[in-house]
Amino acid sequence: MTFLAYLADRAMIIAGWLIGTALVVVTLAVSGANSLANALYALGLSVFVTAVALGVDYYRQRPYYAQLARQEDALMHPALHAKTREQHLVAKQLQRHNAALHTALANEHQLYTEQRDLSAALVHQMKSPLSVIELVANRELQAEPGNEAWQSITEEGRELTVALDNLLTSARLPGFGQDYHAERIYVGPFLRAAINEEKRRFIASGVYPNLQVSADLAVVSDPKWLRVIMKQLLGNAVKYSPAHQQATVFVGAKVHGEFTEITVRDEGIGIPAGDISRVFEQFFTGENGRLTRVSTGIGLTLAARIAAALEIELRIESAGPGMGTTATVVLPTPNLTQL
Amino acid sequence: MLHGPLIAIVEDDEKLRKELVAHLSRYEFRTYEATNFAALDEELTQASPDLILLDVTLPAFDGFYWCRQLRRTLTTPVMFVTARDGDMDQVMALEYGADDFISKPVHPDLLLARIRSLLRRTSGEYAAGAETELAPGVTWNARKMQLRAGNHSVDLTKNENLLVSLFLQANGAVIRREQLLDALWDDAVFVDDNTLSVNINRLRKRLAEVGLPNIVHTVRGVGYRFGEQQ
Repeated sequence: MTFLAYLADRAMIIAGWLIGTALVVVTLAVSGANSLANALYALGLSVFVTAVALGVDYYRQRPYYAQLARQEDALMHPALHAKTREQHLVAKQLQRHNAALHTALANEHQLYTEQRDLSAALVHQMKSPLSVIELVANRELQAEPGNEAWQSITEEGRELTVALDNLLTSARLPGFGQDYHAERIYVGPFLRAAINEEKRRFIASGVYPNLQVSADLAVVSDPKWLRVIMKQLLGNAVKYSPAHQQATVFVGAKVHGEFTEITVRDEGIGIPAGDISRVFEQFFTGENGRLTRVSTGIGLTLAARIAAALEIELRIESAGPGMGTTATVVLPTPNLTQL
Repeated sequence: MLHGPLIAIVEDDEKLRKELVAHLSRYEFRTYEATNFAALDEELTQASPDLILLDVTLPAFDGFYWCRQLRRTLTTPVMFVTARDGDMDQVMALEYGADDFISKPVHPDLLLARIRSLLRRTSGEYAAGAETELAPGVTWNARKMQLRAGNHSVDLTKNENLLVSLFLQANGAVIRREQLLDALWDDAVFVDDNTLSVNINRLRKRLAEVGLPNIVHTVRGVGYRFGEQQ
């Protein structure tokens, strides 16, 4: 707050005082008790003393105004530079308000943490029954290979596993800041491992991977979270490819100057033009969601959230229904100094 | 196989334990259920298994604790079965002396493969170069990757050798294509349906060379079976 603004805030007082003093001076001049010069002199003195008093008062309160003008944390300690009774009163109210907000936030955070831990614990708890389901289905399939009911239970079990993994991933997302470590990743071995991790899904769907990467390619990112993104992209590529028709998922990487693009291209059902801009929206399943029953509208949302946190670009492109889909992850290429 | 490796199963979820027993018993394994969760070290020392499957979350003490206790006296290979998949848990498992870990939900084929590979690593199953008889006068040597009929021997590729081993383990039962693909899928080479068909046909040729032309049977839409013509 400038001195001018300070004065403007006190315009009424100053005006009242000026008018009052002027009336005194006029009364004195009219009554003729003194000369006009004397009256003006008295006015001048009064103005001077008042101006000094206002200056001192402004100077005294300047730290408080400076605090108010700060961009951040202006009201963190509202009583710190408070001088007047009014300022102290406001400070007290602010402190009370801050405390209430703080408590509410802490409660919210605790609730959230409890809820998140509970979800994680429940997911872990669900894994034993899921193991039993897989083992039973496997036993029955062994006794009667080709039995469709058990085959289908096995497949549903796998879907459940994927969903539970997504739930765990989403529960871990918020702690991201501390959990993020960029390092040099060699793309070939990295993608090979990512594909191997999805081996069962590839085999179960009769869809096969084709990996084309030059041996020395590297990128800089967080390997753990990039792996989660790749898992989603590979999972989608398998999910939307025609099952047991020798379909291929092409995985590759190419350098474009400072950036390296990793692509996952499938020969599957593709995405209608009208849906493509919305694929990252939570719970959006679009036309493909109506055609197949495997869309959840969660996987790509998770991938996009991770990509945003890693500050990398994630693109989904498709020439349209039946034309396959290409997912691209754009990552920084390590420069020579980043060895 | 009455004298297969003895696998001790430490799992407090009874249903899962019974299923693991049922699953492993169908192959070359014998099983032992350890349920004295207050004194697992004593119980396991007495049972003296060839491998211990150890759940992490147990009543009283957790699997990490027991693994450390066991390691004081036993060198038996320990494989953790854990619902948690955090890196930290895996590091802890290995630090406490486990040899391997597998995460829940336990995939049946993966479990078999991991147990077999751990046993091979620790006890050297194939080290002796033992020969298995496929048919009267025809033997298979897993380590040499060779079929032999009298003086005539036929070399097998790695995949062909693996297929023979899988067929023998199945004990005449049908093996689904998926299971075979799963086993053939190498970390370095991805396989597809064609690769499997090619490998099966090549194996049939090798077997024909030692006088077993019709031992691998196709079960349409399901997989393959090893054995006499039905």
